[in-house]
Amino acid sequence: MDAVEISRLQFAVTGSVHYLFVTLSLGLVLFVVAFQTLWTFRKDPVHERLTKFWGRLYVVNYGAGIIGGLVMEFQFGLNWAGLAHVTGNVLGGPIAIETLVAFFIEATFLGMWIFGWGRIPRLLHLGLIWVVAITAYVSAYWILAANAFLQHPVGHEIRDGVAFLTDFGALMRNPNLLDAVQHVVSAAVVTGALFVAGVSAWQLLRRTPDVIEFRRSLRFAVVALPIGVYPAIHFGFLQEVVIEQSQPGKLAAMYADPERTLRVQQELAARFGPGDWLPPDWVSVPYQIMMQTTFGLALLSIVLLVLLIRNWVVRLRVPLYLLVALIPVPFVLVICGWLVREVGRQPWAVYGVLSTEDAASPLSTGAAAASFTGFAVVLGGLVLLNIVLLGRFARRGIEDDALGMPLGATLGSSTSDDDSVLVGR
Amino acid sequence: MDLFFVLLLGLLLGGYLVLDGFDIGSGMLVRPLGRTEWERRAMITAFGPFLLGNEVWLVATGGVLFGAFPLLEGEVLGELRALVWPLLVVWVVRDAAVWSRSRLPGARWRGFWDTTLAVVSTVFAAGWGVVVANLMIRLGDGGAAHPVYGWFSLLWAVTMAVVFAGHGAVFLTARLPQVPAAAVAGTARRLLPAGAGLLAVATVVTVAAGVLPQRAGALVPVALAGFAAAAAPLGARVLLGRGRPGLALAATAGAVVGPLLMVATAGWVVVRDSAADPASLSVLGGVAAAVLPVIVLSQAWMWWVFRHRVDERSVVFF
Repeated sequence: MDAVEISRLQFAVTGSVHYLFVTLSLGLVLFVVAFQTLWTFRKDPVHERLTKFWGRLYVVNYGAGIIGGLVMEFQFGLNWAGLAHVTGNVLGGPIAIETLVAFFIEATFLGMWIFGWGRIPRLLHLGLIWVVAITAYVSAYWILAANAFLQHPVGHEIRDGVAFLTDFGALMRNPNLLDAVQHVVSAAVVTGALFVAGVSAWQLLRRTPDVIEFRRSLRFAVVALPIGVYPAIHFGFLQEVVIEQSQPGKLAAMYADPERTLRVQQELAARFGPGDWLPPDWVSVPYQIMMQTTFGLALLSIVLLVLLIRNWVVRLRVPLYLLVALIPVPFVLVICGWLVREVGRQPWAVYGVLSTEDAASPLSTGAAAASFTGFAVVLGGLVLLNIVLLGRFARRGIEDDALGMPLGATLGSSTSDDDSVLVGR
Repeated sequence: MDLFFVLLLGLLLGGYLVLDGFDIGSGMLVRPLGRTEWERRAMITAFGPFLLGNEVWLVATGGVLFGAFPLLEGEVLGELRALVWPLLVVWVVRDAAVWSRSRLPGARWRGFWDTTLAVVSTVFAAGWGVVVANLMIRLGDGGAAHPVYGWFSLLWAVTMAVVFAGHGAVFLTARLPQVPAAAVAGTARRLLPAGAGLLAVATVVTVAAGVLPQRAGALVPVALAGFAAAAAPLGARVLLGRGRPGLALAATAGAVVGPLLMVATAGWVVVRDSAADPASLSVLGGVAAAVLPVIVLSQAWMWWVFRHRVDERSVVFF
């Protein structure tokens, strides 16, 4: 492997790891918002306990997401200097705006939500999680706006080999962006729904004492599932219309159709000159996995809706086992989605403007390998840690001190010098 | 417009150093100063509510660097890869330590993460010293003679580690309950003069070592900024003695941000000249101008909510 390939692998690994956490955060926060809103207005303790249970899982996972995101942001300068040199004028904008407009408020308010529990008036506290959820989705929009520019560069002109911004509105309305945002948002809903359904099912199978709570979150999730799955399919296929026009090579690889591939290769050779302008043909594999599995989920989501009648979904028990088994599935699907989108962009970093080869920093193979190994070890550890912690909190079930516990209640009084008062909190 | 972005970049990075600076400093002290689990948990709860809102300043610095100074990002981060890369790993591990330590019970689990936190926070603090030294070398155009990890970097590493520790100790003095705060104040009183001395030495060395252009116009502002930073911890010590930890914290903030001012006086022209195209800057500038008041207000609100000392009723999480 040469330095460019290692840098690509590093970006793929850090991006995938980051996205595993992010997609769950985006999905889970909707449930936290829903339960806290119900708790605030109906004052039903069931919703308070659900808010705390799902809120803790959300916050633990959110932490892992931030940590992975830090690496993503600074990777541009470290491994992809060409990207900044050639397209920095255009690509930097959405990324800077994301940090200022969305992430700044999101992070500040999430900290206040965690530590302001019971200290901030209830309505304001509810408002905090609403803002956190909204800014998270705004973040997704801006990051995808940057990504859509890589797929389909619009709103710029090239002078002396450098891209200059000419139309920011075109960047915001990039046809490659709008369907993709809705696809990604729908996929996040699916991930959140299958996670909530799976964990609730696990609790019910383990004969939890909190049957009312987990039955309610299970029903919420079963209703949310088709709301995510069907738009995900719809906006997934809609993207192919744009892809066919702007990235014909990607669509040819996705379909793995020899006739189309040959025709597109000739078209691209006429446009860019001699060379291989097609992405690797294995892109069709993740594409098929994503598409076929999601069709399966779409059918299943209807069956599950029917099983809500008279609580069959719980009483039959088989659906519960199935839901537990489905927890990892959406994570595999979103990785497949990104593989199709990003590997399908090859051999370009910015389609038709900057090749991946030219975008890479002039790194030695050793330096690239060292940086990749370091990040891979740390991020791999992070994934394991997150799975262990999420698994543990999901298993422990509802605990009233999951969030918003005062210092005095954790370890007794400050005057106690006894270090063994480690109650497990 | 490019001047606005130089100021914005300085504001964001300076804000980061001051704010996450006390997370870093506190993180260094949790293990050595926390005698009981209660004290260690209280120390983490002291900075906990601010942690997310603090480190986001560096995320925004990175965003603005990429958006408004893409060439600088490619070059500085690229040239300093041997420094930026380990710092990122250290940052990740610091966050993982804070986030994980209280998730599970058990003295060994928590002890492991507390030790990790102390080690990576110290390395993080020292790493910012190395960043200061290298920015001075590169932006001041002073010397290819100085490697990324030379003696000049080492001097700044030690200096900033002590300065951040002092900043953290003053923060803990201001935020902890009275009894543990008094104990931490003793540590602060010992750290602050050491920080002042090191800052003074580092300033003299920076001016004399030839890393900066040898003109009075370049050297005098750097020396002034450096000596002002060196005076700040001494002022903080006096204020601590008078029972004004809040004001003392403002003073140590000056000590943390002083070295950045030295870098800025030496190198702001280089930064300005690497700004993005005016068309890009005007879009970004409009957005930034609109959103800055919201950011400032939300941060001010956070500070208002968590302005009191930690007590029995403070919510814990980290």
